[in-house]
Amino acid sequence: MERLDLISKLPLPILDHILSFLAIKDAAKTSVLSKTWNSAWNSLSSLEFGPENFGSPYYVSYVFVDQILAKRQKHKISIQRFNMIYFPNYLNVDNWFKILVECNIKELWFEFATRYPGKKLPEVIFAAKALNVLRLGGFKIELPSNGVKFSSLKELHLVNSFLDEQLLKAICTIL
Amino acid sequence: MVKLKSNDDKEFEVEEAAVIQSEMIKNMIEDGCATSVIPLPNIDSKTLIKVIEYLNKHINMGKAAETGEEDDLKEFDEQFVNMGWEELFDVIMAANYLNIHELMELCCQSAADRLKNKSVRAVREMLKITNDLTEEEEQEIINDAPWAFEGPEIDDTVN
Repeated sequence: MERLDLISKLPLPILDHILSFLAIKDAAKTSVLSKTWNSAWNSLSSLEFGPENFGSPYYVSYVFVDQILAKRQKHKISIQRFNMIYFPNYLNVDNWFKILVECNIKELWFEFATRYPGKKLPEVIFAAKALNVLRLGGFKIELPSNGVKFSSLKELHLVNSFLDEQLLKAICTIL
Repeated sequence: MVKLKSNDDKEFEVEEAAVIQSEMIKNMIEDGCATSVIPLPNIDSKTLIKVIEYLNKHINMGKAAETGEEDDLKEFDEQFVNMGWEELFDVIMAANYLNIHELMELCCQSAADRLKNKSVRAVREMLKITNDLTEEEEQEIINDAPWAFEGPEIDDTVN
């Protein structure tokens, strides 16, 4: 009996859009369904990590974030949106930001679980030319040595963050 | 009124205020290209009826917010997406073609919700997916990201 693959009529951009509504674990799980789904996952433009991905607050499986980003960096796949909410520690965050900028990130939402602005915002983000929307939580934000190079930034949301005075001045001239 | 024609030659009259929720048709009307009947070669009448039902209900979306009819609209949306996969994909394709943003978001969200926590077996069954990966390829994918395939929440039921 011939089976009709229902998804076969959906073009890849639409499949990508559907997957963008899923949390990362559910999206990743679709990679094993078939070749079409596998390529949709590998090029997925929107990555959404919620607190449910990190188990209990004391156990952090950040390794899979590393893996996903390394793969995208290696194959030069652009990342449209990256959401990481209530991330429980600072491990590897600098490297992730570097990769996200390389992958032409457009919307970045990164919030730590802590209420204290304890992590210095990686300077590399200030060079993100394609960045449209930036939401940060739990960062200490200082004026970077190479200046602020946002050229597409339209929205900036900050919670539980600290901005130094020089940066405030610099930001006001850009927005 | 604007006349739309499905690919199985059925004509439907829709109020302009409803139909301009489609960016594509709105542009056609603005450019003066919608003088008689607008043919929609990608959409069958069954799907077009669903789309028009949505457009008519959402005609006064702005007003609904003022008069507190949002709950009613929410309930309609919930009922609206209560359809089979095949029908849902048809509506998604139509919403994409007609460029109706809200309808597209509603239907893609519904598709995603249905996939949530489902086991690989269940999704293959629901979507009638023919697995064209070899066993080795499949194992490699799982070994690459074992975290995606384990957990107590995984639901193996098909619906």
